[in-house]
Amino acid sequence: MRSITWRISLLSPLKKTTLSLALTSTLCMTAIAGDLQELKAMSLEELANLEVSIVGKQPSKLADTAAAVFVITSEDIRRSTATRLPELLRMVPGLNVARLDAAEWAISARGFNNLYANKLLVMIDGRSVYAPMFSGTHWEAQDVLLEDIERIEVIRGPGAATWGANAVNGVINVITKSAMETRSTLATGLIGNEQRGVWLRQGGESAETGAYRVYAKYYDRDPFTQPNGSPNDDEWSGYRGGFRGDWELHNSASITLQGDAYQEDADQPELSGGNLLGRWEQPRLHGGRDVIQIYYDRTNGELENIGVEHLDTLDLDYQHELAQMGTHALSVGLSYRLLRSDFTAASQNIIRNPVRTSELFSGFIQDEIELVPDQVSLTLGTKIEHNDFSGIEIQPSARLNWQVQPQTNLWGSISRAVRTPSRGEHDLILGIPAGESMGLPIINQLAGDPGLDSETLIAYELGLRAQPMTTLGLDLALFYNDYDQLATLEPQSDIVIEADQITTRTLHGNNMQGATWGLELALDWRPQDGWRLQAAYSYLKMKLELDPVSQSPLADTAEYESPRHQLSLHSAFDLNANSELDVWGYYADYPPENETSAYFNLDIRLARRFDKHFTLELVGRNLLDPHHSEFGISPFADTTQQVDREVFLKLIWRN
Amino acid sequence: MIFACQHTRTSDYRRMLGSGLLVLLAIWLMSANTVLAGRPPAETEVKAVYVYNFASFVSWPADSTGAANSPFQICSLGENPVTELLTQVVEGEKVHGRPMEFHFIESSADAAPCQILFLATSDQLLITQTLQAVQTLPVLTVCEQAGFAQRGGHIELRLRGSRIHPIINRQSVDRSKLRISAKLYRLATVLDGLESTKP
Repeated sequence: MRSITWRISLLSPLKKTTLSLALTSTLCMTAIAGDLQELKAMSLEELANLEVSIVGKQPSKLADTAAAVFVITSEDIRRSTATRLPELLRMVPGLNVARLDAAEWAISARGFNNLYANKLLVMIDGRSVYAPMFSGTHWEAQDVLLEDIERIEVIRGPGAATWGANAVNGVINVITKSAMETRSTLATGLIGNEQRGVWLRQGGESAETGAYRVYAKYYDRDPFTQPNGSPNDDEWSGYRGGFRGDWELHNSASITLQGDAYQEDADQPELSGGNLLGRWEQPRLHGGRDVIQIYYDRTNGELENIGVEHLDTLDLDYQHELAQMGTHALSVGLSYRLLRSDFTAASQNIIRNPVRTSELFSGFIQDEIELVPDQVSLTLGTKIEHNDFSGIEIQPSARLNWQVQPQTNLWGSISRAVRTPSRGEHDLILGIPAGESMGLPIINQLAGDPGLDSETLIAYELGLRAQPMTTLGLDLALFYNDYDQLATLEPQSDIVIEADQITTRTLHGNNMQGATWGLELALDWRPQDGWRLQAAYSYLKMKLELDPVSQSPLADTAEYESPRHQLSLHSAFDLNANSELDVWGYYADYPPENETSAYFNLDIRLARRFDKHFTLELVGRNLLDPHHSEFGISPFADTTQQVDREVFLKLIWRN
Repeated sequence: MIFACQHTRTSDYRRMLGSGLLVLLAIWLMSANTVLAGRPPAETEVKAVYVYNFASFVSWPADSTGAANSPFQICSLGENPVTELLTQVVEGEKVHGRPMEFHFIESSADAAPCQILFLATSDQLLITQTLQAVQTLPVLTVCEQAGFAQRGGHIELRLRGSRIHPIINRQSVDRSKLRISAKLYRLATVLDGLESTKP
């Protein structure tokens, strides 16, 4: 709905610029001296005509943000072994990224992870990509050219004060590069023993003050291996294309227009769709800013055994940042979203209201108050929304930020967030095969309930950002999440026996509560020039309990479905001026009740740049085990698939 | 199933060959080679050199610059990647026979002795206050923030496309009794309408 960049700058528009935190600082450029002399020797005309390489947007403001933020930079992306978006997210502390099969991932922050993990809000360039039918995200359908990502901002914890409901445990915003930065040709070919792909991007200038790019991509991958060794049937192929244009107007305003269309065939599900987005941004005098955004999205999804949905979304967003008045900096926003879901249920299911149109009205207001100039600021905000599933929801938050020293920041926050019921939880009645008895099939009817309530969260967070040495950056976040009205499945005791089947019933309920707590630590260390080490560690403990009335069998599983410990490591080493060696390690350890054994992944990337245009990468993934599984039995998958060891070659040609 | 029968020696050799090729490829990729040809300059470098150039293309009123040999002062309020380069850029340089110096100032009250003031901050309130404090002083104000020239700053260094483009507020320049060379005006976007710096 709204991009985090606006939020980041809102959270501290008034701090004096300080040196950016080492977490994303640029390496010392010792080669500069010679170049500066050349530049000084140029005439003014030559200087004005020079094309420059653009320094990325400053993450320096992150140092002042009172939230657990992690930014994946385009450099992190370039040096990773990922070929799809979800694979990039492993390096973020607090995120659990588990691969279920060739095309499906379970991703969540701070617990509650499963295929339809519903407590995370995911956006691409301010466009929400979560599927309202399940409140989850179809990661197979979310893809961007990784080389054209400017950064990915991940905020763990409720971002509810300025994003939609469902940003309960976190927000992920993928921000692509402005067309100004991609005014060239990029061609990539990927070939390996498990996956292949080819993608092309062409950019150029437009109308003197603007730029555009267009891209096309084809990708496919082999199925994973089942525990018994034979291949699964989850092979996956997809293609997509799109464009983006950015123009600057004479009065400092800027316009963006972008769109994509895609088709992803992952056996289950099959997804296709497209979107179109426009944004107009106008900085005002004295530091204020107006942003208007409108987008249309169409998603077609065919899920085996569930149904086919055609979803149209129209979203209008307005946001205004007021310049600082005294010690206050106010921002407000209004948003309207229209959704039209056209669902055809599979034969064993029933949908109430096959075609349902719903509206979402929301607004937010936020004030950042400087209690002690340049040192302590308090941000108070709230979001109010009205939706067709749970009525009015209010999500306030309070955040305090204390800049103890120029490079040391302490912050704390208390927020309330809600996860509104999904259309599936309200309208869908699923017929789930549950075995046999007396020669008749048993069908368990899982019935949606329009009376279902939202899940609620009160989150308490504390964090520290510091730079103990110029080459070492540290980011620590602690949290305690207090949940109530968590969704449960309540098996009913009545049984209906008919001539051809036995029917049991299960209802949705809100009969679970509990707490989760943990810590996340990110370290960034540059021991010497040309070598950078990054580590992300998270610890999570969950304690959930059912209300006495509940019959749900699920409380226990949710408690141990997410890992207890996770560790991600990255060593980025420059072998010489043209070659790079990246080693990525990932370790996950589950609570003892979970059958998935602890595993350690190792990925290696070797890259060599041959000339101005051509780069070759050799990548090996999951190198330590021929196969391993990353997720226990999921309620939506038949069996656990195993992730295979693989290797691929990537050829990149740039102009 | 079918796959079991195919675990013959041929597939073993194929796997060995594959691994061997991968190892050779890895060694080849790691070997050193000639250093790459030059990269484009960073926007921060070009901006720093623009600031250095302004010393030659702007004239200050005769009585404002102190003694004939006193240093030409470029000051900065705030720190950012461009200011990190300014020290290097002005080192050992002279303009009109005067040695160039770069240093940081703590507040706009210290701006009077400066010839050029670079505002390395995105703090909007600070920018407004500074512009007000120096608006009648012969201090050339330069900043990267969008809208700076519109608000009364002298020169804004804007990234347009992938070139650095100066935007000059002519009326502000005139009010501060500074004179900018026609060469610089020709390259820049010149704003004639005035936006007052009153909050």
